[in-house]
Amino acid sequence: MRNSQDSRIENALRTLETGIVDPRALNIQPAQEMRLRRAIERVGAQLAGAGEPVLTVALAGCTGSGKSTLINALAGAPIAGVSEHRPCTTGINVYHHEAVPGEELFKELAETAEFVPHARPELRFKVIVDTPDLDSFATGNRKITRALLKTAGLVIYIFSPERYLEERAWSVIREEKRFSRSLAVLNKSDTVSPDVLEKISGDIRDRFFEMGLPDVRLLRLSAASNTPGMIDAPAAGSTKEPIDEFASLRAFLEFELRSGEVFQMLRRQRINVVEVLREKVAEVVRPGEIRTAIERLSAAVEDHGEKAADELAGILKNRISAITSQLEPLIIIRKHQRFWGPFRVWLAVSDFLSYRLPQLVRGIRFAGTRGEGSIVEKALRLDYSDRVDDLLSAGALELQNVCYEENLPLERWRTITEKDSGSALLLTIANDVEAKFEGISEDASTGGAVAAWLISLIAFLFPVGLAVFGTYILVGDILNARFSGFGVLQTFIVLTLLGYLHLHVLTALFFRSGRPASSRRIGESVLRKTVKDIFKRWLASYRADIDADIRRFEEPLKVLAEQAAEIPAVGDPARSETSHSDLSEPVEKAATGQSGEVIPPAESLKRTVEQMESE
Amino acid sequence: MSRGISQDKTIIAWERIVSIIERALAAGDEAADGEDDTIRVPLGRFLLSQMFHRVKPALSKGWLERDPVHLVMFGATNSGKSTVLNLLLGKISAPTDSKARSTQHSTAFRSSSMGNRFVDDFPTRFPNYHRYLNEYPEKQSDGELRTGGYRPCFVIYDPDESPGRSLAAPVAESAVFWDTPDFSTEEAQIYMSAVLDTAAMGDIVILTVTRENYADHRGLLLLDMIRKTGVPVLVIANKLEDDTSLLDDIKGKLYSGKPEKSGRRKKEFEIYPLPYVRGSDDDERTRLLSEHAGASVLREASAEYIASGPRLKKRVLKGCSEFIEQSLDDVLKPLRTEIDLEESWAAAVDKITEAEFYSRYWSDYLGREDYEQYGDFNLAVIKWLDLLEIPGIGRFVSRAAGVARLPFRWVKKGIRKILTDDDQPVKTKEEEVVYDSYQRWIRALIAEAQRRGERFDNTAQVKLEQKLGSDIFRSELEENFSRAYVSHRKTMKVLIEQVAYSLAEYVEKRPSVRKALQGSKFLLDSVATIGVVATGGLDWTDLVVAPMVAPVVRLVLELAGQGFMEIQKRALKENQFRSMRKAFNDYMVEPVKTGLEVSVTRDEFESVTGDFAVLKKALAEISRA
Repeated sequence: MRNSQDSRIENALRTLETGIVDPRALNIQPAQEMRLRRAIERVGAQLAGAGEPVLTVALAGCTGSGKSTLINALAGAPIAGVSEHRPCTTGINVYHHEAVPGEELFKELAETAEFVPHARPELRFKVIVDTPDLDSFATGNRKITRALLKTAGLVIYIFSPERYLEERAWSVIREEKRFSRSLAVLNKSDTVSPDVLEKISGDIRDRFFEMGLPDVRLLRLSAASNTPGMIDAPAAGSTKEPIDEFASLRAFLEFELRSGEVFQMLRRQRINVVEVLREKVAEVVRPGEIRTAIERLSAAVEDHGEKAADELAGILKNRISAITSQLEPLIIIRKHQRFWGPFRVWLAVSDFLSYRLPQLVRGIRFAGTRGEGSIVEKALRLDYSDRVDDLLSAGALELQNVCYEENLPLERWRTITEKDSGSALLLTIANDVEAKFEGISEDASTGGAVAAWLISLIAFLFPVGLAVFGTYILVGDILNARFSGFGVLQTFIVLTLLGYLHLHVLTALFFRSGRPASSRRIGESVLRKTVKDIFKRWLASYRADIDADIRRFEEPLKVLAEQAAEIPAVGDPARSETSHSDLSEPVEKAATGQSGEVIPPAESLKRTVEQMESE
Repeated sequence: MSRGISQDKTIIAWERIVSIIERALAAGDEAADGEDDTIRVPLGRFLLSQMFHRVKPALSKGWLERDPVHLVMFGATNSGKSTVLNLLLGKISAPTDSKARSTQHSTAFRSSSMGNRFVDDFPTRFPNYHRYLNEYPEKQSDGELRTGGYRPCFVIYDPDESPGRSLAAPVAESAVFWDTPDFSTEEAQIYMSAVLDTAAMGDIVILTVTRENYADHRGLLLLDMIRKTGVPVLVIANKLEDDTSLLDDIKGKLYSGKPEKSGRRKKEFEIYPLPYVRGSDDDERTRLLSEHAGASVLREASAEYIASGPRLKKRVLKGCSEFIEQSLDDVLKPLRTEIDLEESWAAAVDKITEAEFYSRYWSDYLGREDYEQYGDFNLAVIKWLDLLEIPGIGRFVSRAAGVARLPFRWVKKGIRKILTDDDQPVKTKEEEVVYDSYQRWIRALIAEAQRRGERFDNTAQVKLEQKLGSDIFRSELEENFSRAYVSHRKTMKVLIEQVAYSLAEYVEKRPSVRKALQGSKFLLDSVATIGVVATGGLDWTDLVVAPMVAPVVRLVLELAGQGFMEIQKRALKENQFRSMRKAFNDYMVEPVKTGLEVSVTRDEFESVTGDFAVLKKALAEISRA
């Protein structure tokens, strides 16, 4: 189960990473990219490393403030290297209980940190991390230090009376204060007189207060004098006993930080880092803002599409109507295909006479236009593709202005809109117009079949009647040797022709669908639709890209938030029995200096927290 | 002698360099530490301080006599600058405190007999600072510093006036001892320029480090920067226990502990250890310290330096000139990027202009098949026909025709006015095309500016895109546009005349053609006149006579011209194109190109090298004298 969690987190982090490195539309500045990366690293360090609820206590301070000395004092033995020489600690040192697998907990530190196991039961579920100086020239591990400070549950800032106002330290506190709970330690309290120490403490407290951290505890102590084996003579001449609150620091770390509190700190720190990442993402991506902006953009696209359609219709009005008038015969010819028999022949001849010739003329007229494609397309392209190019680019630029005003990424818009050229648009229009006519003519060829059949039948009867009657007359004439029938036949032929003419008129009256008047509107409507479609397509792919980008940030964030809130799974139920008694034990034990033997394992922590939360 | 002139030149060079450094500082914010926690030294600001506090005073006459040796304390917070200063003064004059940041203003300690000439004589020293004499200004609170900024002021103090107790004889009477605020606290970043101004004046800089802070990154970087100016630096390792190994470590770190590039230092500097003393109060501690052997060593060393007086000052000046030479490039880097940015913008403008304006002007107007219908060549031909007159009689006839047709012209004009009904002059085809292209051009420019603003994240570029989008700039451009067009038309008028004359000249060489043309022109004019007179004022010329005569004229032209007309036409077209380019470039492209508000032009930027050479020569002369 833990593996699946891990892989989910990893996947989410990877998705975020790709979202930053290779955004489809969003414009992420290098500085923003760096900030996001940092936040992601933090989340990775925090969520991936938290297998067991172990509180990370990080010590941070300027060079020479005595971080390592303090660790020794806490450990009660010189486990950390201490030196007068600066900088003393240049790497990260992790002090953990033997039973806690330190290397596994801080995988990201495996390469850079040194892991020092110890056997102090008080610090069983606390890992103390000694960090390099915040200000010295040993800059190597500074980045990791900052990441650590963010993921730690508790950060102890250590000051010395000499250097308690250093810009480096305070700028770090200013940035990290939101992440972890802080505690301040004023070390080397024995080097100055108590009243000076009081003044300095006042200064430090003021600073924390001004920073919005009024409840940060400040403990004054001398780590060196509390370390067995290190003898540091107290300041000569100081009459009063130096202030030393080392016991309270120890008590705070070992006993006051009750398991429930530890757990909450832990949870808080996990949720915090994800929250920070979300803020950073919101800063860069602005999902809500971008979505409303896109809505406004889409309204603008609608307007501009309409405008461009009007303009294009204005430009192409004459050309389109000319073309449609030339396409009209297509409908009529198709319509006439429903007829059969001799009337079909009649119509074919008449169609050829009335349409075929103009079509030939048209073919010759546009023969000079270069390139492949239908005649319609050629006709449209001639002279106009440049102007349509201009029209499109003008529309794209105007919309880019809208994007700019709405603070949307422009680069992507540009690449999307640049692809479309006027000739491509005209080709689409030409194809659409032809298809439309094709469609209309096909419609026309299926409807009114009965009428067509009847008319064809009538028309068929004429020649049949002529033949029958003619044969009858001719045969009669031959038999009677009278040749008077020719006159009658002549009349018949004339009558047939007249009848056909009437039928022709009838046909024209009957099948009025797809008549010329509407075909002009067809051309214009196709043109308008095509232009608007182009604008819509721009918007759609732009919107899709931005949505994809936003999703690439939002989805992993959701996953991470879920994971952060989830209580990490812990084992070792055997210890849970003893834990309850320990929890209920009073804190007084701390004062006696004796360490609590057993610290409750996480399983019980979980329950405690649930109890606390339900209250 | 030429001394006066060269001095002026040097001053001008100095002024120019200063102004460029100031602009470079404004363009890039060097004070801010990087995102990745890197600490940046305020190199540019220090350079500027050097220019004001050392270089300019050195250029004035009698500098060496008038300017005493300055000894400047420099150090992190609570490292004991004021305490060490008191040791040197031999009297507890500078206030000290165990709390951090006790000193907030630069303070000059000097005996009253010296006067204030070391500031008064050199107007570039502390020009905007408020001066306090023998009193300390009120300390600004942290909140005040952060919200209101630093109130620049400095103090001149006579140690004799101070109520503090005397410890020993002062190191030197002839030097000015400067105490400075710290450089390491958060607030220090607000008053850093005061610290740097003072440090830049120093002929000897005393840096105090303690056993706690000697590995401080910022301190090491600043030490490095100051040492680059060639100033002798005395480092005081303060608050040391009796531990020689620690002193060795401090020496090792400071000598070679250069964090990034561990280049060898040319001249090593001395490190003077001072012990950590325990005493009941600050005064007591200072007294104890002054009795320590380390204090007297320090006093002797600084006295020796001060005694070398003018020689020292000259040496430091030389070093300073080298420092400026080395670091000028780094400091001016923001300007260089700005210039590059401007050039790339100019290239983009050129590209857009070419694509959106010039090529469109050619393809939509000049290059069109029907150019002749409305082209300027027609005007040239008409003009030329006017030149083709039979001497004497021809002129008379054409005048007569003109006069005769005058009433009819008026009527025509009136009718046109009524028909078009508004007073706006009818736009020519050229105007239409040009105006249309102009609209496209400006739109493309704005789009480009927006895009670049998005990509570059540069303030100048962002400003430009706002400017291009503003109505004021647009209307300004519009105005410029009409001016450009007027100037273009002016050029065109001349060009057309030229074409007409060259046509006339060409015909002049061919008498037969000339005669034919003159004849037909004469015919036209006389027929027009006769026609008008005969019909009682009705003008048939344009309707009847001209169409009859025009083919004749054309035929003659084509036969006689043999391509000459074509050549002329092409030349005119090209000239017209060139004229439009020039007008458009002057009135439109230039303002847009320079619209990117860069703080420096390339010429100005490059002139720094020359200016610096002048300055360097002058400084070398002074330090050699």
